[in-house]
Amino acid sequence: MAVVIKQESKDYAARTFNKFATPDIAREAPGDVVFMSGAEAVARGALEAGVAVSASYPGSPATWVQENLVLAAKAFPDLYVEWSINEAKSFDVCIGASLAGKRTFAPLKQVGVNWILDSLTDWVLKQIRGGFVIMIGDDPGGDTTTDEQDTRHLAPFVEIPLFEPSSVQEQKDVMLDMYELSEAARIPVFLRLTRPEFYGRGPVTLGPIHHDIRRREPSFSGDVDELGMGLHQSTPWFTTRVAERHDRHHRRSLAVVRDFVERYPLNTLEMNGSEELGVIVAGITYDYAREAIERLGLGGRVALLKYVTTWPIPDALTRCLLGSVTKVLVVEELDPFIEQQVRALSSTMTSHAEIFGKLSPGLDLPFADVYTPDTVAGALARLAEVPYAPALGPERRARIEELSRKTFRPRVGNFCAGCPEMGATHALKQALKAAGLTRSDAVFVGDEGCLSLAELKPWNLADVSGCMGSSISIASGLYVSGLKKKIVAVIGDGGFLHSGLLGLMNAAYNNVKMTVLIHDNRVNAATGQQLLPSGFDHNIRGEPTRRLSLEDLVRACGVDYVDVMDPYDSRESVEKLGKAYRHDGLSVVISRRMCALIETRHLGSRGKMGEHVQPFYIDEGKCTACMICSRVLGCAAIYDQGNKVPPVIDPIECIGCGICALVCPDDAILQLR
Amino acid sequence: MSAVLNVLGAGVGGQGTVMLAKVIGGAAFLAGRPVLTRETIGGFQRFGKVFVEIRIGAGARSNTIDYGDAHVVLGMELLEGLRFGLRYLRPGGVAVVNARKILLEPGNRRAYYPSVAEVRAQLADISPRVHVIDASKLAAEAGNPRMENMALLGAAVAIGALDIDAEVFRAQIRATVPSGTADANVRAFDLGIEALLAPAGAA
Repeated sequence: MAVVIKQESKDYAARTFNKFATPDIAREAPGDVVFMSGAEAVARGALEAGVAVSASYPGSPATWVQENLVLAAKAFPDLYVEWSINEAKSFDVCIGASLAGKRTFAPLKQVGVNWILDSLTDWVLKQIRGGFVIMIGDDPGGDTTTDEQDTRHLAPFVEIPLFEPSSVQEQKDVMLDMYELSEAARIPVFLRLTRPEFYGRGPVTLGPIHHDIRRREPSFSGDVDELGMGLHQSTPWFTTRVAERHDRHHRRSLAVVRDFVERYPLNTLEMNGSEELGVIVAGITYDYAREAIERLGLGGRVALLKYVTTWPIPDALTRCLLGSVTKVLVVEELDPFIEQQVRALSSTMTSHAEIFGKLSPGLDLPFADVYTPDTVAGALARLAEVPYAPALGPERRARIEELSRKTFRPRVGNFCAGCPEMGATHALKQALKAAGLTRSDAVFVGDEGCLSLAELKPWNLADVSGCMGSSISIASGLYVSGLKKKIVAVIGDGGFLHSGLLGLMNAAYNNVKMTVLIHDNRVNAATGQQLLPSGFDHNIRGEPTRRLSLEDLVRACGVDYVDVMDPYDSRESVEKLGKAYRHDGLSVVISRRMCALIETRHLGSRGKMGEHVQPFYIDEGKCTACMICSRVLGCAAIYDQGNKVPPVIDPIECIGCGICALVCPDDAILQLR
Repeated sequence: MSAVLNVLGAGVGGQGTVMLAKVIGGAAFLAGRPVLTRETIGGFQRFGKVFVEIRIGAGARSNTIDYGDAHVVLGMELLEGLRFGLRYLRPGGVAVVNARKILLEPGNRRAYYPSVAEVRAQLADISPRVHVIDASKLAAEAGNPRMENMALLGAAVAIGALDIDAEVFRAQIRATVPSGTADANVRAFDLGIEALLAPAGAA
């Protein structure tokens, strides 16, 4: 099947940039005011603080931050940036560079932070050198993630400080402060923001970029007492060296932190002394509280305590507020993280304001999902005993609810037109027949990425969805349980390299019998087409690399049955998958075809209609309106016109992959020439 | 509270709704106005939800618009125009909606989808100022149907919904769009303006 799409781009890395990235990021213009996003402000803050090494793994909202640093590295080649193989490795790379005295940065998505815990708990008890900031991108509401974790809890768990800046300006400014603290206390520091802060834009006054700090001469003086296991040391009164280090962490590092927090000017208390009410906020709820106070006409009547350091919280400011007003409302999304600290602190005071928050029965502040200014206004109005009605009245709400049942199902996403994973998903389903299996004879386990769209109609091909790299192992578990079904695990190249590879090794080593499909679309597609070692022959810095062969990696895991298919060649794919299903053992099929969006977004071929891409069209004379292309294959470019009517292919959306032409039983789909 | 103009834009992933926010926000900033914006995108590259919030004016304390509080709703797509119009449009506010239909789930044809008439009817009792235009067609005339976002923006400017000069928008468009596409994008913007100024501009 001749497919007219460019497949190679040798300078892909050179042209790689997320459409969200800004050329302003490296601008040497302290004092200039720029309109930038929170993500850009964080990246700019890292630059200004003299960060020398930034290691990250793709995942919103961290992706945007790192992509800006990738852009900055083009302006400042001595800024080292990498897309690590996974977040745990990002963390370790940062530790290494920190030990050599460099400032390091690991911007991570919330569930990515879960991967660094082993190393993190180890290093908190040792002494790092160059400052190290770990950025947590939390996502209340779960727009781009699989859970709604409140990652702030990690701060008291590992016992390192936590910063939650508010405005876009603050999001940049705190970076320098955090690095200074990290180096003074010799421990990493958490920066935590939520989605709307990364994706919010506002004016930012730029500061100077500390090139001198970034260009510090690296050095290393091995001190096994500090950096090793400390096996030589005797610990007269402590049980072990570990306990002694932990004690020192409290007496030294955390003492430095507490002192810093008490003096930190970005923790602010706006109070005139006559207020009865106080509100404690941090991050985005600070904005919402200001909005709510104005809306309710309570200006001057509500004291406002804004924390930027939320673990530990500033002691003196909190006592001051609790001792001055009669009622205090603590507002935060997700868990009562700040609220519990405030309540704990208040228990050491003989008298203090009444504290309200999520833990107050009757106030009904939600534990899940995002907040809005309306949420804060509602709670504040009750405490202030003033009337409040949201702009959207009950009648309109009822109408929206009624319509939601009919029309307003959410848009979650779909495979792009011509997506190779769509082609492979279709083939995975059709191949069951080829192997003599029905749909209910098989269990399909999916992983993270675009492939999880297989859950939608018309494919319905994801019985289980696991998170990053887990599908192969969950599938193994289904097999070893003795379940009498055909087990199929589906994983992306990104998920496979991240950690799925180890799951495959585990499956082969334990003689698991199943079929594994690896989607090789050359990049981490769902997060914005970031480079992978198996996809291209260069890395993000443009250095030539040896392109890894997924087939070799699979064989090295102990798998004998390895096949490669082209998901655009529907017939070949169904045949190969059918064979793999019938194999009595562990069979791996690699579905190889570059992500369709690379063509349309990065290589610009869509901009010139007809030059690179020849769309397909349906010949109405030959079409029997069987609807297989629109309702079984389900490509987004094929528009269903109704029963018994030939569908129509949108020539703008179609990228000319040709899968529909092969799938059509009447050869009624042809390519425009 | 000082006057704030709340503009809500909504579309389907891939239509350029985020680009729209960058242009409107950037134009306001260029014009010396205080402005805060927010973009909300979904977890998949295409066909997911996208909506953007732009707040112009000194009174904005946060970058989000509450339900029922948008002076302007720009719908890049018909269903999203209705969804977000119902949730966000202020009584008497302006809605400019692109007539383009992107079905919710391409594989599920039985899914209910509103018609242009239904969208007009549903939004009519919130505000009479509802305009449905064929922004995709205008963009195609400008040379690239993907520039429907700029055509929609032009229409909104022509109505007077956004109190910023068209020249400022043109400058911001040029500063924002990928290199080599500036002329076509500005052309789409201008066609959007023309379509609303001409009496037969609505779909």
